Amino acid sequence: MDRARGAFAAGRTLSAWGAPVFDAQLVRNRHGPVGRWIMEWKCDECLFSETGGVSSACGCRACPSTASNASSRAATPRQLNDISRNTGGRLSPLRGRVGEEYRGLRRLRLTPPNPPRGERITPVNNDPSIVVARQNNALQIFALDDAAARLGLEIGLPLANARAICPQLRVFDADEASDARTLNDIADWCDRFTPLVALDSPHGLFLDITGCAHLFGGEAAMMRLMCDVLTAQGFAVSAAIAGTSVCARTMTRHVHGRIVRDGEEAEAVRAAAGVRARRRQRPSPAACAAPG
Amino acid sequence: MATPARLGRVALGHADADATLQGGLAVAAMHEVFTDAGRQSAAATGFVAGLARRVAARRPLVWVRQDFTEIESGALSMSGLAELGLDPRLLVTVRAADVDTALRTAADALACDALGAVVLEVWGKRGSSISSPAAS
Repeated sequence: MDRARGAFAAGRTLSAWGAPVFDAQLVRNRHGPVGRWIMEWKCDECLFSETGGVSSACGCRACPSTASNASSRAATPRQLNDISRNTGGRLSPLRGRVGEEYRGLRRLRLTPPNPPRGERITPVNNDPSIVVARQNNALQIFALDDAAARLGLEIGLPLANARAICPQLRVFDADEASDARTLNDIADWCDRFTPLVALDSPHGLFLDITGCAHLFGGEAAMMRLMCDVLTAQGFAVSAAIAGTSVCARTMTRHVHGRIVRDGEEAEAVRAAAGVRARRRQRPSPAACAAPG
Repeated sequence: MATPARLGRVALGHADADATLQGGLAVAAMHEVFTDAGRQSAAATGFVAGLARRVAARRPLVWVRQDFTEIESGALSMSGLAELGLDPRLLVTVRAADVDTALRTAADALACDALGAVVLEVWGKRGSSISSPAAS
């Protein structure tokens, strides 16, 4: 009764919607061989099964992440919100910040809220997707994924133009309230890296990592860890470290993963602006399709 | 100590896994579930919930958690467990301040014959959670 009989490792969830699927590996078995299986939990029959079976689509939306909901954390992020509001969203330039920006939305959130029962929507979908919001009395692109960006679509383009460029576009409505909530949740999670986290709404976060980076193996390792975890959860992340918050924010807009050394901020920003200007000179398909 | 042949086993439903485990998960035994660096702990929670549901179908389940687990990976959501097919009415959750208390609580719970399973979820170097069905 009190001796370990078997040990499972790494139960990674593989499905975004539908029945939860686990990547389970039996790493120790005192009485037999070990193995690794992709198991699907059928919520209705309360049974594990092979994936892709006839009755695999149970339509149950209980992904294991719903089994653990985020705990409401201490008031730190809210206080930091206040800080960022009082300073107009910009903190005074301090040494060592990570300006971190996630473009668009959590990919899981791009799926419609109520998928038809039985239909599996996986995050892996090659159709370009965009999120639209009403601005100036017209629906414009609010966020887009990589596939859409490769087509030359960009934020601010009217939906009609986007559809003209790519008719098979998947279009979703923006939900800024849940975006803000998600950003708040990420800020909450970032508390593990530094106690000083500030929101840079709508899509950014500032982390004051002064004196914290060595705990995570240096600035580069810390940034990699942060980006890896967020990417694994389906966020598109762009991060940069610089001596001033404005410089870090500028870097996130142009190059991902840049670490600007002390005193080289002005030069780095100038170089990044040059990249941007060169990119602008190329006419994008979106510009060609613009009426008039 | 009972030999494996005489131990009861509960089939998981996954044919390959059941074959490897010689018929399924042994009851009256301890099983361990680990996740990668605590990042996938919600997946482990779901997996353990499934295992516990298989082992203790209609009997009460005691779930002992260390406080720190809740800070790191969130609290158990009863509606989430219900969606997975568990009956929240049969669930008793215990929050322990540290590993020692959690272990002591789990040991006490194992002595209770009425329980179908005891889950002990602790946070540590290996980030382990242990599903331990009581004797049945």
